[in-house]
Amino acid sequence: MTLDIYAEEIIDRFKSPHNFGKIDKADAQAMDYNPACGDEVEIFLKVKDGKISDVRFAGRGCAISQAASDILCDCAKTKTVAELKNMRDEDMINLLGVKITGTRLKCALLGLWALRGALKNGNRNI
Amino acid sequence: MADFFTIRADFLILKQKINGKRLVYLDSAATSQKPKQVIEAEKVFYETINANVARSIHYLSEKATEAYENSRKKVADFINSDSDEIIFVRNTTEAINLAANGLDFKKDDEIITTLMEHHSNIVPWQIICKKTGAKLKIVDTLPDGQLDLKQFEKFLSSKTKLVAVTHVSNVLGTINPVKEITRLAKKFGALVLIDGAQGAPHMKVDVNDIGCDFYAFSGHKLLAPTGIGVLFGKKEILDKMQPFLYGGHMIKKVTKESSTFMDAPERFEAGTANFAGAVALGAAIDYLEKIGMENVREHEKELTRYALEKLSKIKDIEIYGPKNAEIRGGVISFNIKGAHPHDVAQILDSEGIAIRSGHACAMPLMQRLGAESICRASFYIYNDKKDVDALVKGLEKVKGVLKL
Ligand SMILES: Cc1ncc(COP(=O)(O)O)c(C=O)c1O
Repeated sequence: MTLDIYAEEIIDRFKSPHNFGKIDKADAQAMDYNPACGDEVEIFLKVKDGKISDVRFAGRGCAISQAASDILCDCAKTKTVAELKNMRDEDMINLLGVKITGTRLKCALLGLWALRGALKNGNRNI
Repeated sequence: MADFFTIRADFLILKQKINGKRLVYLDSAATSQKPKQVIEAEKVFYETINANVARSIHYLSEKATEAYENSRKKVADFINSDSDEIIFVRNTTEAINLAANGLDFKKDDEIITTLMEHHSNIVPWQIICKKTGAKLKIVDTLPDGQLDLKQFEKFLSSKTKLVAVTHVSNVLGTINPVKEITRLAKKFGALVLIDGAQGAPHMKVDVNDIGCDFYAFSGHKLLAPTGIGVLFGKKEILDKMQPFLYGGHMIKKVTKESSTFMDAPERFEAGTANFAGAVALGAAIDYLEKIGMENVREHEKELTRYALEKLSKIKDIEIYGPKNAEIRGGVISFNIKGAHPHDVAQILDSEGIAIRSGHACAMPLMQRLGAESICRASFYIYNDKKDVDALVKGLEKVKGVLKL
């Protein structure tokens, strides 16, 4: 694997993510964990009329997991709960826009796993 | 003095280019590379004398048994013990589990281990304690990366049944004073098990001199193939222990109702053994002894000293463990501020440099260090100062890519 994955956008988001933080009284939240490195990402969702009104992520990890979570949050803001529930692993990789293989896949998908967890165990209004 | 320059040529894997760059393998603490002499030994075994050991009366079986037992003798001599004290297992993890399950622990017994253990020398004891009601005590590490021996002495009592400690930390590199630890433990009649996974491959080990009851190590970290490891156990203790696995090869007599078992070591080697692996381990030991374990240690000490000096000049680096190469094996863990170990490893990989990144199977120690994960460079006989220079240069690239 080459260093293409450290594209400008990935590094910039890693250093200053747009959506980093927590939401008080979130309608849904969940954390997921990568046992290979101890990285964790927590996703917080606010939902209004079946649409995502706010989304944030917190946690720590490598450039890939953090940038991917940040990009995922940007994407989620434009989506309905139903659309998010249908989001596949490939969709996340496509969003990221760089070629991810092998051992780094888990990093790229950590945020999505947390998001799925949140969608599963959120309040009834989502 | 051994010629470490020519040694590299025996490791064919190191000849390849990774991403167009000279392969710089700095992950020997995870597994070592194998010289062609070891690979050849396993090949020759399969091509000339392969047969199941100690089973059949025919030429091949006899030759195979002879080769297997010959390797056992080599291992015994390598750590200054006797052949019937050497049990072949898969790896260090299995060796420790064998000892943990074979010994008899009771409620109120105490087991002492340390914070700098690999998971394989913590988890089995946790489970034994859960099963038997024995109590686990964990010796802390000091800020300089050494064990808190004062605390260890406080933990020792007549209740202490066993002390399980690593010879060399796979994260901090700390070489523990295992002889002194054993001496202290013996004052209370405790058994001592040493995890030698990072010890035996890198320095002269004399279990008789240390005085320990068990010493465990993995062949794959000692130039040998995967799937072969060793548990040394003192004969009089092995004889009192329960077998770990039951089945063929370890029995004396089986009736429909019950069975009796062989003595050690067969008692602990149920099923068809990895005899080809054992033969290759014998070849690995031959290879190391030709160099001389003192020379291996000197070479690594020199590299470690050089690497500590070079790495400590990098801005925003934190190096864990003792700063003194005299009490440190060839293992250097570090973090660079603002860089995640996965990213560091990935960027180094683009330069052909292989390091370990992650928690290094030592999560309790990670918590103590205040790190989620670490970068780890580790050395063996085929590494040289050029490899260290490449690492230092690679880390500058890491900073560039991550805009640090
Ligand atoms: C100190 C230590 N103990 C135990 C082990 C476990 O070795 P294995 O995986 O070969 O059982 C390792 C290897 O990673 C180690 O470094």
